[in-house]
Amino acid sequence: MQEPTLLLLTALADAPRHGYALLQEVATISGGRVKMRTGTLYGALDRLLGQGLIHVVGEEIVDGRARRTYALTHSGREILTAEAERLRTVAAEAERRLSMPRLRGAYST
Amino acid sequence: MTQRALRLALGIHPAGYRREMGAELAAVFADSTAGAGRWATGRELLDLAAHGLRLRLGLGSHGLIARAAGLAAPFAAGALASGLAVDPLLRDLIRPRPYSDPLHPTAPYLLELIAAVLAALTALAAVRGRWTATRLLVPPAMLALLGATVLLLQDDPGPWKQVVFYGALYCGPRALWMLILLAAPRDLLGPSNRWSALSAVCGLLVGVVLLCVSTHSAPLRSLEPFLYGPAPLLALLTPVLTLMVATLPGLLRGHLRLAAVALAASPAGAVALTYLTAYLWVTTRLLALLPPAAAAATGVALALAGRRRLQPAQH
Repeated sequence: MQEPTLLLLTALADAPRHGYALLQEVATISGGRVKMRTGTLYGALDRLLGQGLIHVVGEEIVDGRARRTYALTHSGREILTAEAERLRTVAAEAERRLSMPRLRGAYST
Repeated sequence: MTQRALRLALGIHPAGYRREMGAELAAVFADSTAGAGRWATGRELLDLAAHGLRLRLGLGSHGLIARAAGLAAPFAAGALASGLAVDPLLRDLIRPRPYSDPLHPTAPYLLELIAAVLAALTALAAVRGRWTATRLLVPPAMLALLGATVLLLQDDPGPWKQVVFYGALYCGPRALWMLILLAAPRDLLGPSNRWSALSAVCGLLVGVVLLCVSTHSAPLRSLEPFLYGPAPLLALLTPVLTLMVATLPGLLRGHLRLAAVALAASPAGAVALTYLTAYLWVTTRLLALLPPAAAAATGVALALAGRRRLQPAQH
């Protein structure tokens, strides 16, 4: 799973959100490293909607501005759970190995 | 001014999509650019316009071609670097250029040098996962390549058909790899990883081998069919076409990586196919119809398979 997809699904994991809130959440989750732009966001949302990973749960006008609210589908939640588990396993293994003393001759420098 | 530019960017989107999503896109754009400087607003506008253009061209990130292009992009960056940077270097090593010769103007060589530097930077940015920089570098690299090609060929003493043929061979695959980079949606391009690095290295190798052949310049001239017969090219073309045909079942089952490999290899396949067709046309005119017919049949089959695969996902 590519990072923008992971960040978007993560941004929707705890609550449904509208477009601009998603941009803000993605920046927050990535510690400001990823700043998604409007066109990129809607390209990704189109794809995730097409793949059935998210769906539209509400449409409203707020302060004269159109707003759709997006949420994870069951399938999207399952995929995000699997990806989080995979990342957790890799991270745990990395930490385990980093905590071990380096074996002599196991590296070249 | 910004409102007018926003209307233009939204105007690029297909009418149906604009009717359904235009107000929301405009609202998110307004929120995103509130208090932002001209540079940030300009980049937002460019991104929005690119989104519209993608949808207009059927390259939205939900589409198979765009998703395949996303996977093929590191390969394309590597191939582009070898085609624009390594190939001229090899050519200079084999046959130094007459930079100081007044009969040979330096402008095309300078343009080629600019294209080479831009291509090398493009590949470097791609390998480091800096995709915005990668794609910003592609259009100037393409302009430099086209300019160099036109200037190099305009004084060519050969018949115009030959000039066009070599121009297309020189520009074609490089331009196709550039288009793959541009077709890859930003949201499908992640940070650098093992797959992307390996893919870029493969592209570098394929680019060196095939583009050296196409420009008659480097040490691999023995593959040129006009001098040595079509056997080496047939050997080269067979796996490429086989790969493209083998992609069909993969596509039908949604194996995106196969589609990506076929897409990445297609410029190289096009070079080999063009050479082979030209050779067969010169020698036996009837046989010349076979390779393009096979390629066309493969292309149509791929397109049909992709369409069939995509239909349920489109909305």
